[in-house]
Amino acid sequence: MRSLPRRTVAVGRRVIGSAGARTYVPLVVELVGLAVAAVALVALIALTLVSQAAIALLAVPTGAGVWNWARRWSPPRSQWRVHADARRRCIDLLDAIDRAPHRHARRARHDLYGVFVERVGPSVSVALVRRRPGPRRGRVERTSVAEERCFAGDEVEAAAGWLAQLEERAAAAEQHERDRLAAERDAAERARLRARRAAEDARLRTIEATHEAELARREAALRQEDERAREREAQLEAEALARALRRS
Amino acid sequence: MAGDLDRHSDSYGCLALFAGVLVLGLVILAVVWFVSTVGHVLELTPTYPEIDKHGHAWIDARYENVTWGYVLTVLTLLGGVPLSIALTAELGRPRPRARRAVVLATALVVLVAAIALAPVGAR
Repeated sequence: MRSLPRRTVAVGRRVIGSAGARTYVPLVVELVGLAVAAVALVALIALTLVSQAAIALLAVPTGAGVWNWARRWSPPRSQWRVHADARRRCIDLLDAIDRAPHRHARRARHDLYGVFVERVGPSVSVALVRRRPGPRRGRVERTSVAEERCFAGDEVEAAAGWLAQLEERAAAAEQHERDRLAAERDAAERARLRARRAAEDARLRTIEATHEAELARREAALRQEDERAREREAQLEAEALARALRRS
Repeated sequence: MAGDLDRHSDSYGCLALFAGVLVLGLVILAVVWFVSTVGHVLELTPTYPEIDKHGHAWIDARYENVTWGYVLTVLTLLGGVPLSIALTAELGRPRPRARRAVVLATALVVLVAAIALAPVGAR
């Protein structure tokens, strides 16, 4: 019983993360948004006519926006298929990289590689795709095909061989990128340590120089004091000698 | 002869001044007439014939804060209409820029709300 919610959550996540849900839910949301915008436009026109003419300042741009948006869906039936196909392709392209078997981190700071398989008419295209690092937004635009080969429908072995080869190459390319980044990080860390050590050495040298200067100053002061004491002693001796001479 | 010429040039100068003042007055009249008409459509100001025919008390009895009504009308003409045109152009683009559209729409909503809700215009 305790594992039921966890299982439910897992199933829910799988459903939400499925390509179908990610393809069709945004399209349905967009259509609902378009319907709401159309209703808002009608309401604005009614308000302009009934209540306040200044609302026309909002109704005109809203009309232009709704018209522009609605054109994207005209005619609705065929456009639905076009949008769904385009969206599905984007999602498959993203998944080719995000759900690759060699995936370590989705949001890495290096180029990511994957293998994208797509049906093109009667043939199949198998491509190595690459995505440059960057923010989540614009992932599709940053993804590009690095290498591609098309196979006829009956060239199954050749296609499977090329697919396996590309998957290996993608994994190796990413490993290379990770190693390069790690090496860069290590070099940066070493440089940072070197800089820190140099700064520490410089600080110690400064302290040493200050100490030496202080010692020299104190030695000079002591020497001066000794000199003055000797002079005073000599003066006292001379005075004592003078007094003895006067007595004799 | 010189005196005649001076007299003629003086009279032409006076005529030009008179014509200039007349044209300026007509322009001011046209602007006031136009702004009053637009303000009246927006239910903010009386029309020019109403101002012309009736006195201050009549206008005060039927309209409140007429000065602010004219201010809002001028704002609408000089700010609201260009903003509305800019927003229409922005939303008509193939890929509208969301931030720009939101800024323009916010300014327009504020202006329209001020026109609709401010205690200005016909009582």
